[in-house]
Amino acid sequence: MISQLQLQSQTETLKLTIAGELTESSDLNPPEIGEQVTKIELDLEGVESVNSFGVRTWMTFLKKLVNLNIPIDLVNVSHACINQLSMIKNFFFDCSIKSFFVPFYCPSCDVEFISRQENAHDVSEHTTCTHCGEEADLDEDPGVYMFMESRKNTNES
Amino acid sequence: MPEMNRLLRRQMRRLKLAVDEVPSLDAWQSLLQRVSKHYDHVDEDRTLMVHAENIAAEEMLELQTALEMENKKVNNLIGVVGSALVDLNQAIHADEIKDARKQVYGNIERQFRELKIENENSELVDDLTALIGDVFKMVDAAREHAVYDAELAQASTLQQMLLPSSQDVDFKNLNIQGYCRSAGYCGGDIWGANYLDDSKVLILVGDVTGHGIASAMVTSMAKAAFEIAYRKLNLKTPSEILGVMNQSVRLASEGEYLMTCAVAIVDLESSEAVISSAGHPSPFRIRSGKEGVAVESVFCIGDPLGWSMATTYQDVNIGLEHGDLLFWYTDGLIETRGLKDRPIGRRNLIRWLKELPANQERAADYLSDKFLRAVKAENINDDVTFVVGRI
Repeated sequence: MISQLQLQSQTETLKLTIAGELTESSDLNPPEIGEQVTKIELDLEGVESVNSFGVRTWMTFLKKLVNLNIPIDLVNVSHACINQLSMIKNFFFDCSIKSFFVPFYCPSCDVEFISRQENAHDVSEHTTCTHCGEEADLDEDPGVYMFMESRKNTNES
Repeated sequence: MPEMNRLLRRQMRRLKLAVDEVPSLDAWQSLLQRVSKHYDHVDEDRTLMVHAENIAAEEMLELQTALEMENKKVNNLIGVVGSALVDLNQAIHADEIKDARKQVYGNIERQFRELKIENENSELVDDLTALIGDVFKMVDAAREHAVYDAELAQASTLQQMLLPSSQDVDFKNLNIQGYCRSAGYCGGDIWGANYLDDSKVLILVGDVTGHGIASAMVTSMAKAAFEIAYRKLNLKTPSEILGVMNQSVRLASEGEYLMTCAVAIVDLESSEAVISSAGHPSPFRIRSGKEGVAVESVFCIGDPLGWSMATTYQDVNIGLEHGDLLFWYTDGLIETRGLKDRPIGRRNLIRWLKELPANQERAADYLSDKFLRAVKAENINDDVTFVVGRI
């Protein structure tokens, strides 16, 4: 499914969600933003994948939002987005990542699952499988989360 | 008593005549008058019948003539169609299709005019003309496809020229092996390895958005910028080389196309590598030790080539030991869906790299075999490239 942008609510915080596959066909245009909006919250839980054209679509969209000079919080950032963050410097510009999903793989029951985290330094290389209770492995290079942490520190400083 | 016709017997009964009596003169004359009248009717009937037969014969003759005319017209039309097909065949092989088309239509019109069948068979004429128009459309489409295929083949040849002539190149103590598989005729992936100077080797791996002719053109231009950056501008760091490539891609594609790219310089004397990346997947350093094989990502980030003219890149230095492998890849390698319809993923790639036998001289063959066994051929819809360097 090609990703779609949805406006959830617009009070002081403008809440937007993006779900689906980020590709060249994604229609991402920022909505009209009222003067009362002091913060933008972008929920990325539903972003399933980002192809190379999707990177351009996404960065163009996010740059428009960033240029509004309103603080942007990214919540429930999917692993597909975190993966891009580990390669592309300005994939999130200087937006804050408030929460994100970490992929795990259980070799015992051959199941992949995700776990929501708020701090990169809390990401562990192992966790309990939500299906069989055995030990599941982090299904990503741990360096990605160390890198996220260093990015956060750089942004804060 | 002689046998008599029923009609005669009825007439005699009406005239009150008997078979065995001589009739009166009046009765006899009345009888003769009635018999004569009957003969007259018989004559009229015969005449009418002959006339009817004559009319029927004439109509049959007219019908037969009309049928023969129709047959002749159909034969003529078949002749016109046959001539048109011959003309079409010549037109298809003619250099100037427009002139040939005019000639075919002219011949058809002329033949119809000569046969004087254009008015009474207008529907047939229209159908035939439309049919020939359709054939010409098909011929035009086939010609366009042929031209397109030829251009694609040329683009593919050109792109192959951008890749190293050998997939296995030795640079003193560094062996480089590459694998590049395009999803289409020509793709957006590229790799290369060249001496920067006597002791340094420059390695390039890149991936333009999409695949096809447009992507191949951007790839060609990026490769040209890469060559100019180190050969003519004498740039000595991967980040500087990426900077030149970035500006070229940006200027050429105006932001429509982005390219991820990794450039590295391996120092053959100091066994160090400097790596820079423009939004490309982080390379791996694979090192065998007493505790097994360690596959470590070398994180290095940057924006893709073509995103902004102002983009700058950073260099990351890493140390290498004898026996270490460096592995670069494009995202097609891990994003292609495997037999379970799940992407191959980094997990499986790391497992393959860990399982790579230390004495495996044909590392690229080993890994491409792993990849091709793990995926369905129809799922490979992106270019796949990887480069293995062994020091």
